[in-house]
Amino acid sequence: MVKINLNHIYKKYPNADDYSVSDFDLHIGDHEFIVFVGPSGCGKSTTLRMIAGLEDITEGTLEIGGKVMNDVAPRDRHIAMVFQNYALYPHMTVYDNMAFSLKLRHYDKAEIDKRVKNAAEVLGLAHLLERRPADLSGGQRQRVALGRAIVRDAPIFLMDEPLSNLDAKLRVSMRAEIAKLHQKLKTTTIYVTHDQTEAMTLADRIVVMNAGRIQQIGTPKEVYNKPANQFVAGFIGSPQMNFFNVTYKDGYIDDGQGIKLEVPEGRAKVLDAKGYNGKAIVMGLRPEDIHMEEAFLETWPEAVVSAKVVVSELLGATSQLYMNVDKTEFVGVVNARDFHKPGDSVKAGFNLNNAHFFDKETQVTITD
Amino acid sequence: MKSYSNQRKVSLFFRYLLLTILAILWLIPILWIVLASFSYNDTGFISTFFPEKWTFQNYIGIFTNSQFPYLHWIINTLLVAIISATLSTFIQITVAYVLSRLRFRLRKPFLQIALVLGMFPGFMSMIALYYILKGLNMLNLGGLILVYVGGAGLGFYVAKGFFDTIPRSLDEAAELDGATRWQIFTKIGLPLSKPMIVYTALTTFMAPWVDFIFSGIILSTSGDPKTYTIAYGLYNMLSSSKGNATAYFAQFVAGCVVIAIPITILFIIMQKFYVSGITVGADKG
Repeated sequence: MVKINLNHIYKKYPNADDYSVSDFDLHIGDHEFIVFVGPSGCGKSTTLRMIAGLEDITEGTLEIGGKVMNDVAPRDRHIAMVFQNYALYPHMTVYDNMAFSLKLRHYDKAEIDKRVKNAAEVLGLAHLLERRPADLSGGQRQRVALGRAIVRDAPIFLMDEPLSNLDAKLRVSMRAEIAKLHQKLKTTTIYVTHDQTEAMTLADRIVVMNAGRIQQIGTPKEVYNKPANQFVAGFIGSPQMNFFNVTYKDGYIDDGQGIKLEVPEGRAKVLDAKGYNGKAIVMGLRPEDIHMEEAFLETWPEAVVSAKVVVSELLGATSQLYMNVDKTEFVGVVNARDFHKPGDSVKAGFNLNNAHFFDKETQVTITD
Repeated sequence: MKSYSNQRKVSLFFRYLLLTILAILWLIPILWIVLASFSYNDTGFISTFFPEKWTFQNYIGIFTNSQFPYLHWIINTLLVAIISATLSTFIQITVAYVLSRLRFRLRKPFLQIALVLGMFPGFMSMIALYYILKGLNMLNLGGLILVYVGGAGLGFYVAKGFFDTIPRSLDEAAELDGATRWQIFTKIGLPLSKPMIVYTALTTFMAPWVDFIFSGIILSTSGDPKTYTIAYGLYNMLSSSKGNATAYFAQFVAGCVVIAIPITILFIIMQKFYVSGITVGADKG
């Protein structure tokens, strides 16, 4: 098993004006499951392909196991990769697909057979070994692609949006399987996705990217609870975090549209200390921090606003209510018991203890 | 009242009618030639569509003709066609693959130049080719092969279009699996392009098989009928027999039928390879 060091890596495509990836600095430890997450075009796939050797690195160094790999051919990097479109060899059977890399590396027949059978067993492909990719379902193809990576026994797995071609249900079950696989094999894995749920559920550490730059590196808990900036706060979590453009003054925030609330003492102290008194800031509040249960409304009557329901979605256990106070819109996830129809007037309690405050200019989180 | 299904029947009827007429128009000359090759005649041109008297004599005659060594022509042509088809297919497929898969500095200019060059008919070069080959002392079957193979690289466009449809991620997967460029070509690229190889082989086989222009100018100088290819030899049967042409007409027709047979058989065998679709399953589907 190996460590991967990405030292200030830059990528600029020929003929492009801007860097696709800028100053990507990340150190990956043994057995880690790293997820690159970000919107389309944020450079996460490019970074992955640079690690694989499918793209050249413009600046910076890539070290795998302590050796600089910038100019090493992909086949000599000992990396196995799972592609978004599976990239199975259509003219080969499942068995041959998995055995291909081993044959190229001149393993003896018995060893190849053992490894392929073993991987097929793990992935539940044993009965499909003689089929061709065209005869498989999407989920089965995905498994073969995983199998092709497993048989290699490579110290590093790269996965480029491996689940994005599957339907929603299959995606969830394959996600669990990938997690299980990682627990079993403990292979250092780098996984690229634009789906924050996959990132949250799979990762040891998440790398949130936007516009070619790393926004934050942290455990799922950290990026969720302590987002470094407004982008991360908005990207991680579903439904998205609500953002309110407010003015902070003397312990109160006011959005000028009817939301005027007292900031809990501890948070207010930080804002005061950082010199935000009287300034415009952005407040972020996750949908689950908007409450409608009686207990909350009675305990913190000063944190309650009167809102109107615009759209309501019942999801079974919870319901998502899109509400507005004058022109300010926000969404709350509340218990299904607190379901309201569009047009209803409701009382919504804001739990500002969990609120996030961002600098209006830099969008960076205001912390102590 | 015209119902939709009636409308469809009517339109289908006209479509089939048109196809039938076209089929008849195209088949008549072929049928004519075949019938003429079986017809007995000792006077010259055959004036009836259906033979008045059936005979195999024309076929026997063409193979036993002492003045025109038809069997030599077939062997020559077969030799030239097979050798140049093999070489041309290899060159054309590799050039197409390289242009589809590799990125190098002059790739774009090359594609453009090739496109422009392709617009000029090949026989424009015949005078130049004649003098070049004469200088090289190669006005023979070897020179002919050289001419056919020499231009093969430029015929890459169709094959390149095909290679472009094979997802690049297959190459990348193979690269990570440990394959070299050459292994990617032989183990991934080639097996996936069977229809393309068959198509290329067929076209590069057919071109020399039926070519008249180049075989005519290159082989005519030798003056030895034994070195001719079929197209040029058959032409000679009618043009150089000095007033005797009519005597050989029926044999000429039989000769034409004989050379059509191998191509027809080839086509029937290779037809199924035209159905591509083996790339299905590489990507999501």
